[in-house]
Amino acid sequence: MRPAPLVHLVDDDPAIRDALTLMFRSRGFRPRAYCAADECLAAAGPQTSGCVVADMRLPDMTGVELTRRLRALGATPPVVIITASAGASLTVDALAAGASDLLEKPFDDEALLASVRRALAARRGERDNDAETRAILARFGSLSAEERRVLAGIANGRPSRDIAQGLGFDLRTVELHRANIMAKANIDTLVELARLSVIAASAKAGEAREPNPPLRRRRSNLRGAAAA
Amino acid sequence: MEQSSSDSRAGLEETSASTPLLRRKADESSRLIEARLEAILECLSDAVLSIDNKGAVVAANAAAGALFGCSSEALLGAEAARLLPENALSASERKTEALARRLDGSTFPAALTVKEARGAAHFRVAVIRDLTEERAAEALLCELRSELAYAGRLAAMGELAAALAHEINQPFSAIATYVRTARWLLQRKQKPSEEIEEILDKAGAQAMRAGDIVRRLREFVTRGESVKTVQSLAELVEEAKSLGVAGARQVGARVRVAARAENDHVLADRVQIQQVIVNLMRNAVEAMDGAPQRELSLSTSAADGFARLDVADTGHGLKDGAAAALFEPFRSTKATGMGIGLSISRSIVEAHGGRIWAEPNPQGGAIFSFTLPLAERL
Repeated sequence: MRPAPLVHLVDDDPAIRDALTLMFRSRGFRPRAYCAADECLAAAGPQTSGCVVADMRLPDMTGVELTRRLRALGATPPVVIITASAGASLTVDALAAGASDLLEKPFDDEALLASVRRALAARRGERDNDAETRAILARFGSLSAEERRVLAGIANGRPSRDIAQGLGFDLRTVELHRANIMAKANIDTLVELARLSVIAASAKAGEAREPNPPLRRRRSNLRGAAAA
Repeated sequence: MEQSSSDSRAGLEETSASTPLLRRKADESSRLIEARLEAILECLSDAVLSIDNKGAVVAANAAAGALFGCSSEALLGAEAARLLPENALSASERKTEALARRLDGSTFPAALTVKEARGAAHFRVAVIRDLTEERAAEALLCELRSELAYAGRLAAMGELAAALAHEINQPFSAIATYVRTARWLLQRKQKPSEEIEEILDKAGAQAMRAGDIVRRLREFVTRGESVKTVQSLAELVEEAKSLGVAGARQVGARVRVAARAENDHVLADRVQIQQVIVNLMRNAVEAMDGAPQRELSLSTSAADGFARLDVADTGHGLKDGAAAALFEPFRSTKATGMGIGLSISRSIVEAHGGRIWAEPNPQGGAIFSFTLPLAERL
């Protein structure tokens, strides 16, 4: 049996840190809490294992910046961003910068656990067996070719107007496609649409290239792959 | 000219009249003086009553009749104490304010000066001015100021809405996690119930935290009559902080609060002073957006009969010579906002008898300060 995985919690709100520490501990993880990105970075190195769960707005930097600095230190643990003020563009930015996932506060615990488990599985190279990723791909399974092209634009973080221009559609058509995608995939919010579109695009990109691409490589291909 | 004026002052000492208006010319008869005096009294818009040593009105001008709701003749012989409160009738150099009573019993606010006639014991002259219109204008001004302050609060909250949503989301997120974890633990029956109770208590505390922010927010956006109460400035800062820090988190600023006075109680409209504090905090936070160092410190103190708050930031600071113009309306240097926050703040602080100003922070950035008179002084 594997040892209980580490979860590095970075949030400046003491109540959130405390609640997540209790939650992860009760679910068989080993939580470590930090109140600022600096503290987390000071403890991180190439040997750092587990998963980082970081707030988007930390006192010293953003969660996205923390992700970049961790990578610069040679630390490769996946980073799940949590935020109390999400937006679709923020979501795409975070995922494009190498975060594994982004969840809006307040989130369902099961959703956060699933996200952390998926990120850890991907890190171990078990991504292909990841039921969660397959489920997300399945949700987009019934999209038309045109809807797929719009979805790729969304995953690329482009506003509707840009997508319309790029594809030679008018704005209304893009909005209609977007509404259809959300209805077909059963998605309620633009943030969720952005999040799922990036996960799907990144899974596709991984499939197309190599069986188990390293995380950074996979992410750096994200924009190009999604736009293709 | 020099010469002649000192001459006439010398002559004055021999006459009984002490004011230049009633100065007797060498050839003027006392009849003529009386006529002049009467004409002057009839021209005045203030009521003038002459009261004899028994407290009865012996003379009244036309304005007095108009003011007390009758002819001036009807006032003759009336007891002065029927028209004005007894204590206001004692002779004094100072102008006092009192509630005057018309003959029909209705009352009106009045300013009055009572003076004893020279050489005649207990013979007094009372000059009375109706303050009804002045009071109405003051009330209107006060109402307009409070409406403007209210509009300013709505605008401020509009600009802070995203930050506040974030601030309220935090405790909700903690509650969701606490409650779900407690449920999971209950289901597994792995933990003693005290531990689960503790988790639920924490969830309860977070619900109170969220409720607290919502309550302050509601107070802030409710249109209310201005009510002044005595309270500690440090406590007002503490309360306003829960709204003011919302923006600080957005730019990753650290907020420090220091209370340095033992007694900093002021007579103040709580919501309006909090509005000033929130506004200064917001300005400070916006000034620090993108600055390398982002420290916001609020410190309260008291000296020379005034409580004082200093809001210091480490932002981009003040432009040379801009400090005074900052408090003029529509002077915003920011991309967003109407530029009325500081002018509303100034009108609030000044209406409270205080002062507001800005100066450069020696550590870089700016310090905005205001004072309010300590309650014990009022």
